[in-house]
Amino acid sequence: MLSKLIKYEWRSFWKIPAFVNLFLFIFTLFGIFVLRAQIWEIDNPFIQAMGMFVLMSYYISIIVISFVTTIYTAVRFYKNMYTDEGYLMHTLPVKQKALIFSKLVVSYVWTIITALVIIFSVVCLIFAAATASGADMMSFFDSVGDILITLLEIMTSPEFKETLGISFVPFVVILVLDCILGPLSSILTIYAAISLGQLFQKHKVFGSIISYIGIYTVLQIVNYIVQAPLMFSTALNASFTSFGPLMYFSLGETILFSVGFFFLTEWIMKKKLNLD
Amino acid sequence: MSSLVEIRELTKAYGGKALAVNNLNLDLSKGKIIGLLGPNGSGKTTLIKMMNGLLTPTHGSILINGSKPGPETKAVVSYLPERTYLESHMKVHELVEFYSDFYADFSKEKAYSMLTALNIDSNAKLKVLSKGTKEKVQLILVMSRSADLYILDEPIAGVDPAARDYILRTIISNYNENATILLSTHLISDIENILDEVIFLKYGQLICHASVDNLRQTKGKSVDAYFREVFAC
Repeated sequence: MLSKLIKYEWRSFWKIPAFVNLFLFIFTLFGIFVLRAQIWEIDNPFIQAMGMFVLMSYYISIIVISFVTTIYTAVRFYKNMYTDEGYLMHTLPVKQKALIFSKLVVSYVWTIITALVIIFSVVCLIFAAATASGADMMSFFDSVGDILITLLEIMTSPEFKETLGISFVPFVVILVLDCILGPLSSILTIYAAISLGQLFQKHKVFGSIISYIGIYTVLQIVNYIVQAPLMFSTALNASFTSFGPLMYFSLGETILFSVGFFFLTEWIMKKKLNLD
Repeated sequence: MSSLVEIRELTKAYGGKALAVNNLNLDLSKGKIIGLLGPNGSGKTTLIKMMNGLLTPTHGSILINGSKPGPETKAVVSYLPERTYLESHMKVHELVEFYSDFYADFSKEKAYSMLTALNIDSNAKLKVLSKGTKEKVQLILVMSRSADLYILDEPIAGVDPAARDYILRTIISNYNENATILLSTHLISDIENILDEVIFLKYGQLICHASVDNLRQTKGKSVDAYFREVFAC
């Protein structure tokens, strides 16, 4: 049943994020063109203004696009679970866990795709800018390689651990886990906030937004309470050794809250569902 | 006589308002067509939504085939809500696939033969269909299942009289002898002839649950006439 739920969720979900990514791809091509053409060297204010306009639009579109998939995740979950469409979804012979999980998988995949497309696009533009002035491509790659090697040398040196309180391998592992789990946690926060909004008698969308702000505030307070002593010792001793423990804490918090939000959403669907 | 549905002390309160369903006790047996009757606001839809797990009761219990509303009951209950509840971007044949994928008791052949009989284009997107046609599609999907319990909330309210006849015939001819149909409506005269039993609700309370024959005999009038008497304003 889960695979069927994922199949139908994918069919309903893909169009908007795919369109948005295509949009970014086209803007990237424009951006590359503007950078490669070095149009600011052309002595024509109109063409220069057009070039600036394209680059500004590119910058704005990157910001908008990273929001669109997130907002669509929220809208789709709300509409499909808690409005008229919920009459169908909640009368399917499936567990609530499966409903949540199917939506999570599809939203997550599109969030990752969107993130990768954005990164790819930015890298393309940096490359285009770096080689625009006719610079040798190989020397560009060489200098990027040099930076990476230097960075690697610093991170694997004993001083790295002494300074930041975490050695290279766990640092990279936690960083990778943060990248993988971060989007998952954001999506589950949205699901939990929307589900909490359903506990309001009226104004359920407003309730969802209030719940999201509430969750965000609580997380910030928890972070502050945990981080404050570490920050304080950092300032006092002028050392950054608390950075490592903070990374562990932050990862643990992400995992804990993600699991918590999943079960909170499931509990509300199971025990507190009240479709209008 | 074995009970298909057992409802005990069922109560639903919405916020501070009066009880929508008030301490309801009800048994529905197998193989009956039951009319759930009552004026607007009598708690019919609230009761139906609780039976389908879309609303959480404030108090009391519902058992269908011995289970609380959940995946097991949803597999044997075929529910028609009183609203359009399908994703409007989907085409009719995609909806048939959807139902067939999720409900083991769904028959595609039945669905397509009814769609053909009512001249509904299965390649049309739901959003381009008229309100009445959408309702027909929904009813066809629900009646193409071979369920133990059909719960139909106002199935004939929005369609024209000709389609109404076809739909009623469809309902009667498409369910097996052991299945029960619970059908809520305020258009009693249209369906009186097909009903075995009636349930009258008023202010969320049970006024009467009787067989239609008994009611006619003891009251000496049609269900419709009795309904008008009980709920006279």
